Amino acid sequence: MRQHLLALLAKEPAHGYELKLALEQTFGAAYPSPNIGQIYVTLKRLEADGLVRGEDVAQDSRPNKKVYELTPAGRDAVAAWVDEPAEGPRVRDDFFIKLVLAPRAGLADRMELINRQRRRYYAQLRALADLQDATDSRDTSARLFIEGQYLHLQADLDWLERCQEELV
Amino acid sequence: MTPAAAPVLLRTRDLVKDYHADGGVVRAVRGVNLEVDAGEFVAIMGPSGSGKSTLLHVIGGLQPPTSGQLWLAGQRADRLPAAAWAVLRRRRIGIVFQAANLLSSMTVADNIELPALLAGATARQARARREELLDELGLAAKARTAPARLSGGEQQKVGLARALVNKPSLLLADEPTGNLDSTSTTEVLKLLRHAHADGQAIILVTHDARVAGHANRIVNLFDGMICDDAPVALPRARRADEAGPLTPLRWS
Repeated sequence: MRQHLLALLAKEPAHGYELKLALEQTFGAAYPSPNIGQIYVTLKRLEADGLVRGEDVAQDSRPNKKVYELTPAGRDAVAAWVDEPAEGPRVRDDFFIKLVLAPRAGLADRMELINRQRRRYYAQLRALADLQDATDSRDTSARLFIEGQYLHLQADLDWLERCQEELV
Repeated sequence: MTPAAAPVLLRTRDLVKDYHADGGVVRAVRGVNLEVDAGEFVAIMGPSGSGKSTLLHVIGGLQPPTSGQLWLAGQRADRLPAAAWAVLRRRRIGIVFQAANLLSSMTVADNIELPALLAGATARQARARREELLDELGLAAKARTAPARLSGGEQQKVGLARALVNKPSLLLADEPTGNLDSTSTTEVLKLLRHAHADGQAIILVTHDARVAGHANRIVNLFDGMICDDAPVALPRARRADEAGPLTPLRWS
């Protein structure tokens, strides 16, 4: 979450609750909603690391709020994050290791492992379908995010099928 | 899961389908036992060549089984003559296959209305139903077009509309989103879900994860046999620290 908050602050200074709202409004229900406490803790750590600077702003009839802005070091950090291509979702697949090693040791049957894993993906598909129903189709970021999840799951299912064809 | 009270709509017992090709026998379906209740939405998945399409053809009466039994709505169907199948398909079963097989000499509208008229609908009823279906599929402007002037995806959608025009109690569909872009897939899914919400049962063959996500049961075929058959359940509630479908954006 560090980088995500830095990237939001690169646009303009904000306080913690504004950051939470910005994430929710941009990504919709597709984004696991961050807990406000997590955001405050992360901001404190970023401040300790010298990446953001917080300034108390007085409010009428309310406690002061702390508005954060990027420091030059924070700006460098977010630029480095932006420039770095992200890893694919599966660098090392735990299921595949299981599929190869467990039957060798007589711990499991390959077909059972594949079916169990497939059912998990189906359940995730269902959750995604529900998420899609709850998401406004005009919300481009959320829609693309969901579509990406579908494509990942599609690839996972196709690949399970390949494993089944070759190993079972 | 479907309520226990839902009547069994389809039942197969030890269903087998062999093909004879090049002097050899291809065992496409090798003993399938399947029960589908009224109102279920079942996706059949599995690798190419696992027998999915053949199974759908046999269930729809387009090919006779080599052996085994098939019941539809309580009626023994595996030995029905072709004429009786035609009536069954007009009244109870809608079928849409990968090739839409639209009648080239008729407009899109007439292709969709024809099965309704054959089943006894008035011209006005048939037209109203056709307009409703084409609207949902985003094809209202193509009603007077000849099928040959439609894209492959549009033809497939018209085939689906034709299969649904009589609100069949069972819809059989083979890769209904196979040639479709994302927008058309969404339209087709919406239509399928409306049909399902109306209590129509759906059995479809698909590779498409988006389609499978809406089914309430998924049957996996492998080498002509069912290797898994399970309701699609929501994942158990996720803990905050656990990866769900949203893995790439998981909070650290």
